[in-house]
Amino acid sequence: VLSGFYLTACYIFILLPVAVLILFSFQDGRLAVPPFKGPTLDWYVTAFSNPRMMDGLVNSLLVGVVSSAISVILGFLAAYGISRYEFPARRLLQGVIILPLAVSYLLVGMGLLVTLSWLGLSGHHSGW
Amino acid sequence: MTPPTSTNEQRAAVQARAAGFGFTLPAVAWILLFFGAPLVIMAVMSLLPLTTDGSAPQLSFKAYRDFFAQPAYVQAIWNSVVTTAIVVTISLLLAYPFAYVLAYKVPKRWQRFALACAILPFWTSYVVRSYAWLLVLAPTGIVNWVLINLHLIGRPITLAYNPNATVLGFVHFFIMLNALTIYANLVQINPRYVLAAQDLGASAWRSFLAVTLPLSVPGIAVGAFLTVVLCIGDFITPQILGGNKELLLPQVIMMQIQRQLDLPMASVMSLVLTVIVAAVYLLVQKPMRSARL
Repeated sequence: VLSGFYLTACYIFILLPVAVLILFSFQDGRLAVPPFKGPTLDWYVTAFSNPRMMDGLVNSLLVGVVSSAISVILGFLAAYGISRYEFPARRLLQGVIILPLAVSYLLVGMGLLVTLSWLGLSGHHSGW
Repeated sequence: MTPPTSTNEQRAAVQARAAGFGFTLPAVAWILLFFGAPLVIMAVMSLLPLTTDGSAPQLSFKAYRDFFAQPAYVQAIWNSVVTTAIVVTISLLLAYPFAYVLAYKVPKRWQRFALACAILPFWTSYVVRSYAWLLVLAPTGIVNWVLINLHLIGRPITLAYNPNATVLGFVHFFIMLNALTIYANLVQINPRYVLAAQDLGASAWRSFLAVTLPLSVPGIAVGAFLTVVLCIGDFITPQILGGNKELLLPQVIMMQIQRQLDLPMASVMSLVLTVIVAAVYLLVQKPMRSARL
């Protein structure tokens, strides 16, 4: 009984914000605040007819599809090589591949930003 | 004909080596190119501080000295470390019983479904989750609305835009993550160990403390480490939920990038962040290794 109670409490905590978000996407009114004034699809129409938002959606989909395709292909090849073949530095290479998991996305992004700005800078100075 | 066979074997071994390398190389090359090299460049950048008069930067530790000399920055490190410690502790304490109930009390055929429900918000991003929490916690949000209508409070209480809201947003996400790693660990533990302990007269509580808990340490350690990595490096959750009074290190980094345009300083901060994560890794490295019996 106690464990059932705890489980329910956890589910409420975990699902509450998402449920609220979904509920108020159907809110009939200007503000996403309670009370809930009844269902409407107005906001969906508004969102889907907003060109900037649609551009954003297309960009997100593009980035998502391309990056997951590349990572699945590279990841599959690496996993196949590491699991099926014995070769020197196998463990080391495996470590290199999972290393980015152990740093935050902020660091990955920072590294790329600094590099691109540095490349841009040096390109500028060498007159490209 | 032994010699030819052995050369064939040798050739096969060489081929296997080449094939193993060949399959693994693209991924490794990608990571070195887009992760390793940028980090090295970032480290170099951190040693080339901006100059005020526009002259060419000189190699020096000036950015590091400036960073540690600025109390607001040191405070940001402290805020990040404390917030992360609180988040790790709370989410482990809440996630462990959850994973335990899921693994041992919920019927086997329901477990998959229960787990899928528990990680549903995983499908959304930091931005969406934080915004959803804002709908719940804002002065005009659900919680305040309910409390006011129950006449428990007269006017809205401040729930959002403070460090507690940040912690809440983080805990929400990391309960799911930790529940996953701990659950995966718990279902691997052979139930006979617990039965054996109880046959030998251990109470349910004692057998949990002496058998189940120690065997689930790897799951706890992996969950804790991932929580530290993702929590201490996240900029979105504190930015949306936290208000702007107590800044965390990632927020300060973003300020350097977007407002101060000081990439060397941002590099220093990112490296400090990395050193903290590396220290945590060394701390939990041993318990993370799965102690399978």
